[in-house]
Order: sequence, then C-alpha cells, then structure tokens
Amino acid sequence: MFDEARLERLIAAYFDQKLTAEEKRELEEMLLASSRAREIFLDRSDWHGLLREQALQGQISLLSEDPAGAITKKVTPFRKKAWEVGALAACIALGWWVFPRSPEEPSKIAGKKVSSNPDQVAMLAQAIDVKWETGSGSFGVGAALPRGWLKISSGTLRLDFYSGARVILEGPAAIELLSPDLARLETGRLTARVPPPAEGFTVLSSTLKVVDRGTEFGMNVSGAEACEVHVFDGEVELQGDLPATAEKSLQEGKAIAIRSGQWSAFPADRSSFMDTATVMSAAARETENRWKAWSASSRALRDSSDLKIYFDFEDLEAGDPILRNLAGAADHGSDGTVIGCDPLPGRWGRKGALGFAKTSDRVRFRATGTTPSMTLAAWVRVDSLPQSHNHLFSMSPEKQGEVHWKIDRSGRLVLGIRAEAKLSYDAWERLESPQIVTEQDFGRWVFLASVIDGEKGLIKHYVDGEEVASGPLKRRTALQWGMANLGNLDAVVPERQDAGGARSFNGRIDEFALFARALSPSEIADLK
Amino acid sequence: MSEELKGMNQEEAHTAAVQGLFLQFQPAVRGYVISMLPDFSLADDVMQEIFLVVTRKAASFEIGTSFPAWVKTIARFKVMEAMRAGRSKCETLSEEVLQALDAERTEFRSGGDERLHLLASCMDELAPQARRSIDFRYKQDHQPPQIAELMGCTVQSVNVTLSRARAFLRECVLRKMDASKI
Repeated sequence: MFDEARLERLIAAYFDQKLTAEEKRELEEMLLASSRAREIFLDRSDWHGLLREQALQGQISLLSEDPAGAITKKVTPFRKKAWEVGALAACIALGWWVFPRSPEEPSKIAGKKVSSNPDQVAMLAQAIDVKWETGSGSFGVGAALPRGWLKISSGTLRLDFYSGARVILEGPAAIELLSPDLARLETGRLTARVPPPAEGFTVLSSTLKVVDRGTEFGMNVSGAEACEVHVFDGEVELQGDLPATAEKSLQEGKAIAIRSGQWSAFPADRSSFMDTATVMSAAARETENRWKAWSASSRALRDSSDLKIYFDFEDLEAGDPILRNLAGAADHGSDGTVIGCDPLPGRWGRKGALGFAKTSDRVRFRATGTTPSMTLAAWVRVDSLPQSHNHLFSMSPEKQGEVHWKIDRSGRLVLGIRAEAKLSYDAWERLESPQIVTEQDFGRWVFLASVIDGEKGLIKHYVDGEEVASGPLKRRTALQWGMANLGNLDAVVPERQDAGGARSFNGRIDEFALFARALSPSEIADLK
Repeated sequence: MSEELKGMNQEEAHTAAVQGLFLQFQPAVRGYVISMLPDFSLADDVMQEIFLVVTRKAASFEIGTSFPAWVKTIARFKVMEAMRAGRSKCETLSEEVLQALDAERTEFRSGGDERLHLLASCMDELAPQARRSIDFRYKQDHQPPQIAELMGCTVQSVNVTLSRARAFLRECVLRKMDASKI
C-alpha cells in the first residue's frame, strides 16, 4: 500500500508545476506500482481540468455579453452557450481560448450575491401611499436601507434606524442616511422618536445640527435657508450656523425657526407633524384598501381557465387541518391538509399566511391526470435558506413527470422536471435562475412564478412579474399530477431520505396558484 | 436539426456538428491534456491545436462512430508532439507512466456541463479566501508563490488553502450530483 496523503501532495505539486526531479521519480514509482494511485491521479487531473475549464467559461461568458455591457437577464443553459461559443470559434477558425485572458474576475454577474453589509443603517418599517421620486432608488417595506439618499415625492415612510431611533418622514422629502445615528434632511418634514439607548441621534440640515438629548422632536426643512425644529418631549441640542442670541439647547414644548439667517422662537406645534398613531391609522386604512382590492382580484382569479389549485390562506386557525382549494373547477378531494405550519400574518396586516418552520411542516394535496404545460405562482416570504434544496413545491415523487420547485442554498430559483425514469442527474429537465434571494431579502415578500410550456418547449422563471430566466425544455414530458407538497418533499423511498437531508422550506406562503397551462408574461404580470 | 444548422450546406453542417461534439467533450479533453501538460498556457495552446485538427479533419469523422475515441487519438498525438518539441517548461511524466495511465483511463465523458454548472454554485459556497486562491490559480494562472505574494501569506498556507478548496469543490459537486439524482 502507498501513502495516499503523500500521493495527493505530489499530485498537487505536479499540477502546480513545482515537482522536483526527485519527487517526480517518487510520483512515477507510485503510479507504476499501483492501479489505485493511477485512479486517484486520473480523477484529480480530471477535476484540475474541470476547474480550469470553469475559469475559462466564466471569461467567455463575459466576452459574449452584449457590447453595451448590459447584464443580460436571460440565462441560457450551458449547452446552448457552448454552442454559441462553438459558432463563434468556427467563425474565426480559432478556439475561444485565444481571447486575451482578462486579468480581472468577472464582476458582472446577474444577481450578484450581497453579503451582510456594514453600510446598512436603517430598516424601512412602513411605507404609506409612497411615490418614490423618479430617478432615485426605491425600496420595499422590510428592506435594509444602505447609506445614501431616499427621495419621495409624496406619502409617508417610517425608518427604523439601527441605533433605535424611529423617524417618520413625510413627503415630499429628501433625506440622506449617513450612519445608524446620523441623517441629513435636505427637504421635508420628519418626526424622530429617540429612545434612551439611541440618545445622540443627530439630524443635519444645511445650516443646523440637531442632536437629540431626550425623546421626541420634529424638524421641517423647506429650503436651503429655512428650517424649523420643534421639541415635543425631552430636549435637543442645536449646533451650527446659529445667531449668537439663539438658544443652544431647546426644551420640551419649544420650537425655533430659522429663515434666511433670521431666528425666531415659538411654542412647539405637535399637530403639524405626523405622530405614530396617525401613521398607524393611515397604515391600517391602506391595508384595508389593499385587502379589498386583493379580495376582488382573488375572487376573479378563482374562475380562471385551467386553474387547478388555488389556496388563499385566509381565515386559518391554528390546528385547522384543512386548507380549501378555492379554484373554481376544483377536483373533488383536492383540498390541502396542513401538517405542522402555523397561521401567521401575510404580506400585509390583514392578509393571512402559513408559516413553514419545522422540517416536518407542509401542506399536502392531490390532483389527478397529466398535463403538457403548467404554471406555478406563489407569494412567498423566505426567512432563511438552511437546506441545499428548499422546496416550495414538489409533486408526484418518484414518477416520470414529477415536478420540483425550490430555491437552492445560494438563492437561485430552480424548477426540475423528471423527464426519464432513471435516477440520475441527466434524467431531469431543469432551469435555474440567477440568484434572486439574498440575505437582505430574508423576511421580505416576493411574487414567484414559473412556467413550463410543453408546446413551445420552454421553461421560464418570473420574479415580481418580470422574467428572470428562460431556457429550453428539451424533452417534452407529460407532467404528472399526483400527491403534492407545499414547502416540502415527501421522502417515499429510503434512498431519498439518505440523500441531501431535509428539503423543507423556511418562510411563509400567503397565496398559491397552480394552472394546467402556460400563462403568458402579461398574465403573470397581472397575477402580481 | 437545431436552428443554427439551418441554411448551411451539408459539409458546413457536418463540420459544425463535429465542433459541437468537441465542445461537449471539451472539459474531458482538457483534463486529459492537463494530466500530461500541467502548464495551463501550453495546455491551452494544445487545446487550440486539437480544435483546429478536429475542424480540419471533421469530414473524416463519421457521425455515429465513437467521437471520444477519435478525439482522444488526436489529443494524444498533439500532446506527444508538444512534449517531444520540448515545449513543456515543467517536469512531465515519462512515456512509460503515461502508457500505464492511458491503460487505466476510461473513455471521455460527455456533458461535463452538469459538473461545470454545479461547480459554479459550489464556488459560491467557498470561503472568500479560498475563492480568491482558486481564482488566482485557475482564472489567472498564477502559481502558489505568486498567489502567496498577492494575498500576503506564506506559500505553505496557499498550498493548504488550494488543496482544501479543491477537495471541497470535488465533494460539493459530487454531493449535489447525488442529491439531484432523486
């Protein structure tokens, strides 16, 4: 027997081209003496080649991006890409490896992973009737806000700074977030409630620095030279370009105004600023309106043609075992059975959802027959991606035509269809999206849809109504209806239990629809 | 027939089909070449020469016969040619060892694309330091001493990082292939 660790070191040295003549003899002796050593050597060289191939592929895919440098959203499966490369190579009668190698890493990867970011300073807690200013960024409720500008032309935002300060911003407004306890208000009206741990929270205007020393103040900036500060509770400290006579410390109940260098004092006016209660009731009104609008469209959706399954997750009680299939033409016995799963709030206050947390949590249901095409759509809140495969949906395990819909650990949406009976990687038709869920998206609602078009031979993924990936369905397979799971996968054969561990989803689902046909892009956009 | 092949004459279409086959086997061919010529830039040159021969001789390949066997003959010839011309700057294995290895080797596998695909997602799971080492080594063709300099650490630790990262990627891809079988 030979020393395997030694062999591995010698092979690595050989591939890194630093083998001495003596080591080379040693490696050769090992290789000549043992078939096992040759096997290891061949396996390692295979992987070495694959890694190099992978590195070059990354570069060619950058080269084949469009000249404008725009990130192409379409994900072409590799075989197609290879073919394009082949065509390119044939055109110039040279292999693509003659392209100069870029010294830089590919940085333009669609949906590049964002790790937890020290640049984030606050969370967008509420957004009521907000219109974001055109040309500036916009954020969804629950988003982690990075340093930088927020500009709204109307509506109200509640920002929860990581320091603990809560700021209500009334539009039109422009605010620059600078750190967890510092912001610059360029224009607009804000109310800041600052609990003791966040004391020192500071808002700047062009002329003033307002440092909180107590609990609540309001500030209104209506131009470069015009600023008002009202103290509702506690005390604030004023610094900056102030007339000598101005108070440097402003007590509860007092306010000052500065206009074109002129300073005046007057009583604080609580009613001219939004308070939390007003925001809450405005939010409740908005929620109610949203629910009504959703409710109407949800009723209309139930009668859509070829809708097989529709769960709205409303009015669920803890321990309630039945989830009704509300599809107009629902098959008898296609209601869902809830296993585990707690009823939780959905994508806004009044909407219901089911939470999937335990590895056993799932909703099971059954449909019968086969279909050439299918559309899956769901409102989903991903709370984490703990498994290699986090299943949103799976159907007809172990059968040809089984369907898996899942998010992998790195946040890509994956659809898999078993096109052949055998148990191997190439038995599956699959489409993977670019990364669509990052750590920053945990806890946020997203509308996911995937379409299998058996007629056109296409698979597509949509996020929030927009196409993010598209690829061919090479083997047309009848999709098999059968025992299905939301949020999990049935382990019906022992081999499946061994491979890969749990496949449960962690998060919430508050609407799910399954159609026996391919919906068009505009139909998908309408579902949102 | 695929879209791309429409509108070509028969001979062009045949050549394109053979080139298409080559691309399917390319990862395996590269592994084969690199096993004998570890120097990436030399291996890249030889791959290019192989591709040119494949293109030139496409007419002599009959669709339906074993493409892997055909391309392996070409690859082996081109590698030997490069070795005899003394183009390799690093230690290469003796003819006797290469023959022993060849006897052990199974036929080239097509569809390295599955593994390449999984490799891409496994790369994302690497720790940043390991990822950088792998990129320096495989994308930019740096040797461990250069990588050590670029990363401000010892050559020894680069060697360790690289071999751990290689082992991790191998296991990760195999694990994913296993998981996708179900």
